[in-house]
Amino acid sequence: MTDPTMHEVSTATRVKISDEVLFQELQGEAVLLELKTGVYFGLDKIGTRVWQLLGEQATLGGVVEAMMHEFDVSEERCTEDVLTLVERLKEQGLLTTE
Amino acid sequence: MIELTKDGMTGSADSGALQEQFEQTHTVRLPGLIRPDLMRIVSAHLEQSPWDVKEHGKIGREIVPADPEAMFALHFVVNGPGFLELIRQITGCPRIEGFMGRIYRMLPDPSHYDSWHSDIHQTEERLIGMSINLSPTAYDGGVFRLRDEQSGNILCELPNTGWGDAILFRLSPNLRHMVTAVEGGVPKTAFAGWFKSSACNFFSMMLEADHSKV
Repeated sequence: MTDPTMHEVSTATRVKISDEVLFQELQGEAVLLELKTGVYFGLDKIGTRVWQLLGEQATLGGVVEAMMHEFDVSEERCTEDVLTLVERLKEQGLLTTE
Repeated sequence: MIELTKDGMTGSADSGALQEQFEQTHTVRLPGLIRPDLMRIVSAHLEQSPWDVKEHGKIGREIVPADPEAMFALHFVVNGPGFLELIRQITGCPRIEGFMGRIYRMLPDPSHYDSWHSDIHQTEERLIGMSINLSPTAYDGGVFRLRDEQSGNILCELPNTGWGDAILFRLSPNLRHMVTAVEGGVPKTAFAGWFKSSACNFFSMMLEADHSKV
């Protein structure tokens, strides 16, 4: 069982995608380009959907709720996966949180 | 109107009408192709970059940015699958696989010039040309001209001074094109290159070369 308190971010966290990141969808998956470093990042289909929702939802809780609506997944698992992905994206400088 | 954004292509176009126009005139204008927020990012990087002189043999002389960020951004958006498919439809070139170009600046100076050329290459299959205007301020001169090689007749003259506007033009052994000298005090900055066929899939090359899985 995972513990959401182990994360730096929570469902109340707000996310801002970096102005220097470009997104391109390729057959359901996505490629992100971080312009300052010139490094490309790949997202699988689930990660791609999370990325899209990050630009639409006010908080990570909203992202989790939308993902649960679209996919057959428990709230606990969904929350864990979204928070983990957001932390990885943040580490790579692709977004900031508040 | 079609727009290329930070998140891919948006909008729609009457590809049938554009295809007809391209068939008749060998050129098509795509106004406002690059969305202003993306243009501002590109412009900011170009303003920060040093510029180097580049010679193209007897064809022309220009300056090019030393920093790669703006080039990365523009290659990334124009090689999106949706945009490439639109270009295939407009131009009737199903073999298009990708776009490769360069950013250049022509100063209003006699030492910066372009002259008639075809862009046809012996080893690369260059199919269609494209030039996107990156100049934030309208410039004088710098007009794209296309002519029939045999008759010498000018087939069209296209100023391309709108910020983020693009023009597409056909490449053929029977056609020559050039950009007239820039006049006045404002330089012309553009992203120009060719849609190509095989061995030019930008994302395949990029993903093979350097990427991370998040």
